[in-house]
Amino acid sequence: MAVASAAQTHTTPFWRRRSFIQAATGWLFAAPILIYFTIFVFGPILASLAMMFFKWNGFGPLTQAEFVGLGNVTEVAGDEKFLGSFRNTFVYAIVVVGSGVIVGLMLALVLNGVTKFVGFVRSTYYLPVMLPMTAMALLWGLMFQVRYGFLNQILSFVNIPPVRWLINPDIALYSISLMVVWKGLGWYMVIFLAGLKAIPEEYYEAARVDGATGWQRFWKITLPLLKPTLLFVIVVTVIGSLQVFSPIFIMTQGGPANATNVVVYWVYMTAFQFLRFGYATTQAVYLFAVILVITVIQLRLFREGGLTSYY
Amino acid sequence: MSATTTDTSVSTLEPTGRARQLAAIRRLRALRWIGGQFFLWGVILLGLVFMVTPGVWMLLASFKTQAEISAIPLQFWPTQWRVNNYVETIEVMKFWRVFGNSLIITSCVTIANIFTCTWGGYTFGKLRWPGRDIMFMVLLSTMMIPGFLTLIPRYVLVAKLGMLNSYSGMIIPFLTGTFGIFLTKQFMLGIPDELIDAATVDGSSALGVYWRIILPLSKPIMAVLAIFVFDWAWDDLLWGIMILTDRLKWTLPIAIANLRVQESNQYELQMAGSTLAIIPVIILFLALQRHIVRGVALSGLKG
Amino acid sequence: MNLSRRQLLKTMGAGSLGLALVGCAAPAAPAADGGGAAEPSAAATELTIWFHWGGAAGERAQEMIDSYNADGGAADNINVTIETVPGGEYRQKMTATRMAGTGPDTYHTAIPILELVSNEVALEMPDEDQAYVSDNYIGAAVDRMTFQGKIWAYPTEHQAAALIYRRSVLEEEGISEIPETMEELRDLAKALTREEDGIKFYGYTFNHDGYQPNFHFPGIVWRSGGELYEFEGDIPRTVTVNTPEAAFGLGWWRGMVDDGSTQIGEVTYNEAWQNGLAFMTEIEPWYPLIVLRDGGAEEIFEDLGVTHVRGRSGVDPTIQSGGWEILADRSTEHPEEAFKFIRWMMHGPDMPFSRFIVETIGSLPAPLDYPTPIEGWSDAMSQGYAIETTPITRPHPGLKALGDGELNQAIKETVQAVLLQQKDVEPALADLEPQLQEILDRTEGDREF
Repeated sequence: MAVASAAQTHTTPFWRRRSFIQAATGWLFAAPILIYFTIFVFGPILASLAMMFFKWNGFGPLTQAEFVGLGNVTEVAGDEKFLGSFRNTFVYAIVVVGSGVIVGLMLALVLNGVTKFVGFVRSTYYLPVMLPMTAMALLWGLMFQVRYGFLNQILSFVNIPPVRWLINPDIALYSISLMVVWKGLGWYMVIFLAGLKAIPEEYYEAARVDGATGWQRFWKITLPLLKPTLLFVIVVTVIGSLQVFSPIFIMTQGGPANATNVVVYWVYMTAFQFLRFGYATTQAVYLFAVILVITVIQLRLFREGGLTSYY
Repeated sequence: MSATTTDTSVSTLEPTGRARQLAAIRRLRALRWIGGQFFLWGVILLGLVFMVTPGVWMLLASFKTQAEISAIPLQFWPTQWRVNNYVETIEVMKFWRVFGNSLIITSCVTIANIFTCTWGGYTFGKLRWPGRDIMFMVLLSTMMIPGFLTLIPRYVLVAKLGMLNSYSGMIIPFLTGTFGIFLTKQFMLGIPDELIDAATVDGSSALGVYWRIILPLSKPIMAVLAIFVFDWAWDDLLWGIMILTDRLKWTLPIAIANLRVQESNQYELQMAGSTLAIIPVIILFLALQRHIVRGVALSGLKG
Repeated sequence: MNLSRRQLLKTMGAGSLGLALVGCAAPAAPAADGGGAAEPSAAATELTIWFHWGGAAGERAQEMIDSYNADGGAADNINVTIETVPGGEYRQKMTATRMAGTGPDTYHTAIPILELVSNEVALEMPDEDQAYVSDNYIGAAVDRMTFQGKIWAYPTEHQAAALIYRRSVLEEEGISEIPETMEELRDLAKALTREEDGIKFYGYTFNHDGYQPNFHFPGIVWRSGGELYEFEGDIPRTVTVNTPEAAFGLGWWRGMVDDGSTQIGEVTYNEAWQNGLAFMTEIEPWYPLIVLRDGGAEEIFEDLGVTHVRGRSGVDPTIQSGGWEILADRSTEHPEEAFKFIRWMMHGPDMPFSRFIVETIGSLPAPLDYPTPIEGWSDAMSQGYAIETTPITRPHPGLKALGDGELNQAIKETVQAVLLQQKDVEPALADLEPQLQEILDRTEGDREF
């Protein structure tokens, strides 16, 4: 077969060659998507990125924009508040993705071990994922209240003094993380549960015959076979968490005393409150570069783990 | 491994003793199983309470008076179930009108995405062509730029296309999405190449393969796409505020946001509005959940 | 339920796609307009205005515009349509619409005049209108509309805080009037603060949920005898917050936190007021009207005393003011008609727009000859807000600074840190001054228009 096609390439014109047909088909199929993206996504992104080299208040006519070259780029590097917002963002992303993955996986394992009411339980856990963020932020704002909030009332049953959830700068970021994890947990769980369900039972049977403990089965079978699911979940949630905005915007506005100031919130403030559009764009480009690097590293790490067919 | 010890020890016993032993083991296993189930259900129920309480609170709050919502100490149940909150919310929000707008816009976006994303997933996941991986990475990278930064150029574009204050302005810019293509591409990797090769040998074009092989096999991922895209489009606020100026064309999130601004103290109306708003999403999820689990499984597992 | 592909496509296709097509086609059809708008004659000039109200207030605004279209509009052959911009997305939307050439003819907006002029949005008003505003509106409102010696818009409202308090609670303590100085006020707040059955009642509260902590800062500094900036003509040039006066003001606030007589976010402002846990506060008139009277706390509304805020002993009380205005866009094709429409809304004796704002939204009246007592207000409110507070208002200094957003953020961080007892007053202000100065130098340095 290989020989035949190799022989063919010498005699057939290039447009009949398989490689050409494949390439042409691929590009033809990709064309509508790429054209659409060029108009509605790349175009606006490039138009925004051009702002990087200008000073523009995001409000006045563009003719008022002043060209500043690399001025914005160098200013970002020395901007302590911006760099500080990176620290908060990373803490947030690690807490949210870490606890989402760990708790979500644990719940999925638990739910995988029962046979009744799985659909009901799964749907119920998924419920918060669908509830609108604005309503949930309002609700959690009430639950986080110091004196009469739901959470502190429960804590008072076990004699824990009231926690200043959103007021104490040392814990505000974690309180928001708690709410976000709660809201996203069902998503993690549904995806992990689906991944677990797809692992053939025979693998576990074989391991049981070999006398492997539950712990060993988890490490030797579950986790390796769950790797693609994990990759998907982690890549997507890391990209999302590093761009966290709405819960911060609704609940704390970056406060108290900058404790929940995250990068995208600061970019938003810089653009729409400080009216420094060019500078905000530059900050966003820094964030973009960081996310890109982290994503590429994640994809590499997983590839070295033995899954070569992802990219 | 040490695992076989039970087997060997059992086999050395007398037949009658062995039967007794087996029964004992079975009983022990059953006990452990029951204990395990108790533990598992304990965890599950605890989690359920944690997950459900805020939602239940929202539902209850939608039937309370304003005073009951902010009562001190906390009042969990309404003293009287005020269905009137819903009547009032429906009137104040022009609920049916904005609900209809939301339904039309979100359905258009969802259906379009189901086709465009499976198309994209097939193109980037199954077709082999030079430049594919680079182009995919470029698409993926657009997920990494905060959306509001491109708001103004996008608005100007849509205005130039004459789509302001119209449903098309809410739909056309969202016909496809990077996340959906990413998700579907993952799923496509799980469809065996042999199926496609066989169809190609039978004379199917790439388009034929998409229509006859890929689409039928993609039902599970379509369900996943449907719920994700629907949920996301249903919730979108900022773009709607930019595009829709006529109050009769508003979508639900705008109407709810407006309720928040106008009736800032009336939590009960906001809660009633929010409760009404999530019903369609829940219905969609319940209807599709079987497919969703399969879809996610298949997209996640096959590498 | 197991859908086959055919079924799936069929249900989705037939059901939603049909709906979708109807939807996509719908924009072509003319919008069904609510209310009894008068049928404009063939040659009527079409004008648009941006409002931000929906809900009940939106309905009332629509009624007002309908009555214009039937009355003044019909006479001048003008037909006005409302475009509603909910929430706080005004600025982005204004940029975008101006770039796309899809902006309205007139705006009702809260964007500072300074910005509207420097970004070439505001259309210069005819002399007649400038004279009208200058003659018929209270000083602070005219000041807010003024830039480089010209008046650029009609002030539609005048938001400023007065001191509101629970009369019955003070009477229980044998007090019938609020004391005259900030120092005495702090003592009174401390005396009123108490705890009963584990529930704490606060002598003095600030609206932390509605406003950032920096919002109250300028007024408090003024009342203590200080200033935020030194101006050079229209332009703020030098920051003066590291002063004993500013330290006294911020220290007064922090002192109430230390006393336990005010609180930061432990109870929401609304909850505190609606449940009777708060006894005094400084707030604008919309709050008692919308949140207390219309929000189910009528008894508390009836019990309210209202008076102007207090100053440090020996210093005249002053309060910061702000609000919205109405103006025409520089790129409107119908400037004359736009001003005719604006005059109908703003000019006395009817001044329908001012009445709508004052009575429905809750604002100090900006026109000088606005009749008091105000319809729908309590006598205490008419007295405390309209009569006592109006003369002591001064435009918020942020309205005069190009870098307002950044200045506010820096002030917010500092005030928050002080109130959370993370920093002491003097060192915090010493840190703040150079930050603000840097922002001023950068943003005002190249001001040119």
